[in-house]
Order: sequence, then structure tokens, then C-alpha cells
Amino acid sequence: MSRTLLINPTAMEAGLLAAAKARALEGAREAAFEAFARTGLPHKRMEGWKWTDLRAALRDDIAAAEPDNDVIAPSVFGGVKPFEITIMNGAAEWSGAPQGVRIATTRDAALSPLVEHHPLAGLAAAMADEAIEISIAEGAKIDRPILLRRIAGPGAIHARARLSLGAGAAATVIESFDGVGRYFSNSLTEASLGPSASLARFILQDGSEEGVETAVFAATLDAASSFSQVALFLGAKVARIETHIAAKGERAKIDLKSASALSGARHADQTSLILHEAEGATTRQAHKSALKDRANGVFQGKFHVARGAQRTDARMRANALLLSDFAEADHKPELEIYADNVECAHGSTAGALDEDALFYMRQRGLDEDQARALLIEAFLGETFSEIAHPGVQNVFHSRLAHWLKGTK
Amino acid sequence: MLKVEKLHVSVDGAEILKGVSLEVPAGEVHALMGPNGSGKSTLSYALAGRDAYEVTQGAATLNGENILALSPDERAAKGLFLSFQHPTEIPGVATMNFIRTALNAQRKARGEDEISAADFLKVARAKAKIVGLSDEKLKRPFNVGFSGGEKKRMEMLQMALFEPRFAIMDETDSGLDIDALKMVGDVVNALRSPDRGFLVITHYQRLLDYIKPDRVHVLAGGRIVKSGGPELARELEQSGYDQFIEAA
Repeated sequence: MSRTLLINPTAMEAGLLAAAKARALEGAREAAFEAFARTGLPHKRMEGWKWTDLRAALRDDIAAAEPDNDVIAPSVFGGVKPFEITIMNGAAEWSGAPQGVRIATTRDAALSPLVEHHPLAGLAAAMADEAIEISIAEGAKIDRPILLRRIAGPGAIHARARLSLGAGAAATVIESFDGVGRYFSNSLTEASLGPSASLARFILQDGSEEGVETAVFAATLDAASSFSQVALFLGAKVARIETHIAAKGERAKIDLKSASALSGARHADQTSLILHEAEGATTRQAHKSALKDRANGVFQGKFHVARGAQRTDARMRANALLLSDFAEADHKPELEIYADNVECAHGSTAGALDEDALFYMRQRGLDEDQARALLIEAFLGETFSEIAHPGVQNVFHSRLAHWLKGTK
Repeated sequence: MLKVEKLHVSVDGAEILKGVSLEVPAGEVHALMGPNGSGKSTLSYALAGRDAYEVTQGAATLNGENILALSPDERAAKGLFLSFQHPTEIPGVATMNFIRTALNAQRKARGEDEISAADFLKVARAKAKIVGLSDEKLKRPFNVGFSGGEKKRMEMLQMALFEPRFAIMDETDSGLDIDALKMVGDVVNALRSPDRGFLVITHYQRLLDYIKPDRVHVLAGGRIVKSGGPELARELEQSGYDQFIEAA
């Protein structure tokens, strides 16, 4: 029995084991739980979890969240008039569907090969009662953004979603992660893009100081498809947002931009793995973080280029701005290349605000806080400069401005 | 107006200014000349309040008010403007937004009304034409991709917009061609008034053909070693600074 694999479980792990046992998992669900039980909650002695010790952050048991019927405030994305799917404590609610979109739920728990050994993906697959499935029909161009609004209340939450885009389909998906109080919110989203499909994904993660947010996203890209992602992480006690992409068809385009704006003792971890498995993929990844107080920003990015993936063109950079002596940035950019005709590059920097620019701005009349805020905004704001949807772009800029005002 | 008395300034523990005394009365333009490394830029940074420039002795007042106790932005709000020798590039910061924010911060500190974006843009465009900066340059991030000369034009645009009470111009002429020198002269001459003063730091006489100084001072070895009328600048052009370096 897989559950006995966990030796010396923490209170939280023991709680998860008991919950799994009570559910009498079978088949794919049991296999998924095994992926989790092989390691338990990922911890700092595991590869890829050195700087994000989930086991330590979740030592005490957090009971399963209760269904919550509270009236919730409108989303910050309300202004872009999205088609909204509210996922409150893991339970999805929506009404109708835009033309060309089919929304359903499934109890099928099988994991995509991309994440079948991932402990958190396994946990979500085992524990989520059902997955929400969003299917975009072949050739459908969905102009209206689809908002997956994830809200975590106190408790442990496991949620799962699947997204598929048929050949030539195009869609915009916004995912917001909000939380209140002490929670462990774990979600898995799997996506597949058909030939020439195009998906724009936006993420706004804004957790609570006591909350733990983990999100695993895994997508496979068919030939000539394109995936773009723009994210703003405001952190939580621990937030770990993972992006796994496999470019399986030729000439896929991948563009990942993310910014972490962290203060207090917040922690946000951007971890991504891009598998280039076919020829001619183009990947651009840029991550920026501004870290105040005792905040901790983690960037782990890996480009894998398979033997057959000739003419891959992939670039990654991560830049951190350390705004306090106690803030910490941990970067691990990695290239693993098996093809011989590729262009791949990565770069990583960490530094403080430019003293020359600060003095210049103050000589012109800005006080220290204003000058610092303007420089930080300029640094992080670049992440959102190319968002094609003006309404969505506004939300990111105003959320960043709000963060800047609230911090020194 | 600006009064500097026996000012000693150290940078990283090394004393650069060793008792500088200088007075620029309202309505006057003074030139400060001197060899490389004599402390001209140190004086401008110390007066503007840059962190690493530590005043160990002496005093500096603007209109009778001790400015050494003020932060750089407070000094700016009092009307002190520094035209930088090496203006900074500020990637990601929109030029017009930055200048308007700075101008309004100064106005707010002085209890004046803020200027609207539309009014500001109108004035800024008109003055940009005078200093020779195109609309395209104004749309760029601040000074990014500007040539040395364009950066100096941007300094002059800001001086024209802020209309400071006292301006220190640190080698504004370096890297400028003759037409640009004339432009700098035009901007200064348009601003000259009985209640405004200028300290023009330069190595060369040629800028002073366009800006007629009332007094000329020579800074060498961290002290003012000679002061005189406009003819002193011409004299220096002939004789050089060697005599002062030896004296210092």
C-alpha cells in the first residue's frame, strides 16, 4: 500500500494520508496519490525544492476546507468583462459558456505524462473530487477572456482543471489566486494546444500572509502553436507557481514573463521547465523580482532541448532588485541541451537600485520614497509592457502601483 | 543668494574641498574654473546634497537658509538646480511623466498648485523646441539612447521648465557643438533676473562668450585660489592652470 511509504509524516501529511484513506482511492486516483506519497510534501532536501520548503511551511495539519457560500467581492478583472468561473475552496461555479467553448466536469483522474511523477500534481489529482474541463473548439477565436478565479478560504483545498484548444483555436485565460487566512491551496491545470492554436495566460497571485499556494500548470504544444504567459506574484507565506511546457510540434512559440513584488516575510517561487522536443521552437522567458523587508523570491527556470530539437532559439533571464539587506533572491537558470544546432542563452542578475538615478531624481524634487517607487515601477513594469489586452494590462499596472504605495 | 563659507568636503574619507568660500549675490552669474580634479564637481554634489559627499566643516546658505541640513529634494524645492556633468539614464521611466512629477513635487513642497498634464505638455513642447529636442526624444524613457549632447539639452530643458532660483551648471558645455553652446547661452540669458543666480562650472572660455559672467573664480587643490572679473577667464585661456596647481 503506497501510503505506508511515508515515514515519519508531519501532522499535515498524516492528515492528508487519513483523508486519502477515508476516500478509499482506486485506479488512477490511487496511482496519483502514490506520486505524492513517494515523497510526501516536497522539502528542502529534494531537488528543485531547496529554497521552498513546503513540508516546513505546512508542518501543522490544516483540515479540509468547508464549502463556502459567502458573497464574494467582484474580481479586480471585472473591468475586462471576462467569462468568470469561480473556484471557491476548490468548487467551480459558472453559468453558460461563450460560443465555441464547452465547459464540463469530469471525475477522470488520469495525469498527463508531463506531471505523472509530480508529488503536488499527484496530490491534486487524488484529492480533487472532479476536474473542470474547458474545451475550445477547433478554429474558435474566443475574444472574451476566460477568468479562472481561484479563491481560498481557511483549510486545505485541492483543485484541478483541464484546458484544451483545438487546431487553430485562440483564447485568453486569466487565473487569479486569492486567499484569506490560513490555507493550503493546491491546484493542477493541464492544457493541450492543437496545431496553430494560441493561448494567452495571465496570472495574478495574491495570497495571505498565512496562506500556502501551490499551482502546477502543464501544457503540451502542437506544431506552430503559441503560448504566452504574463504573471504578477505578490506572494504568500509560501507561493510556488510552476509552469511545465512541452513543445511537441515544430515551430512552437513560448513567451513567459513574470514579476514578483514581495514585501514582509512573503515568499514566491517561479519554477518552470520548458521541454523543446521538436524543431524550430522559439522561447523567451524573463523574470523580475523586487524584494523588500525579509521577502524571498525564487526563480528556477530550465530549458531542456532534446536531440531532435534543432534550430531551437531559447533565451532566459532573471533579474532581482534587492531593496533590503534582509531580502533574499535565489536564482537557478538551467540549460540542458542535446541538440547541436541551437541558440540558447540565460542570464541572471541581482542588485540594488541605481544610486545615480536615485540622486538625480531627488535633485529634481522627488522625495526618496517617490524616487524609489518610480524606479521599482520602471523595473517591474516592463513585464506588462507588451500585454495586447489594454484592460488586462491596466489591472496589472494598477495592482503593482497599489503594492508600491503600501510599501516603503 | 548663495553663500559658501570655508566648506570642507570629504569623499570616502579623503578631503577634496579644503575650505571653499564663495558668494554669488542675486542677479549675478559666476563662473567657476579650474584644472581637472580640483573639486568643482565635488562642490556641486555637496551643495546638491549627494550622500557620499560629507561636509566636515563650514557652511552653505541659499537666501540665508542653511541648505546643508536639507535633503536633496528639499534643496530642489528651495529652488536649487544642478545641471549634471554626466546626466543619468533612467530606463523604464517616461521622460515627460518624470519631469512633470518632479515639477509638481517641488510645487507641492512650496505650497503651490500642481500643474495639469495638458498644461505641462504645452509648455514642455514649446521649451523642448528651444533647446532642440524633438517630440520623439520626449517620448523615450529618460535619456535612454541619448547622445552626450542630447543629454545636456535635456538638462537645459529641465532648467527652463523648473525656473530655479539658483542653478549650478556643471560643465554643461562639455561635448557641445557651437550651436548647442549658443542654445545654452540663450536658456541662461532668458532666465537671468535680479532674483536668480548661476554658478557656471567650466574648463573653457568659449561658453563664457555666450554667458557673460559677473565674476570668475579659480578652484585648485580644493580651495578658491583666485577671483576676478570676466577678464580672468580670458587670461586663463592664455596662461593655463599650471601656476595654480603649483601654488595649491
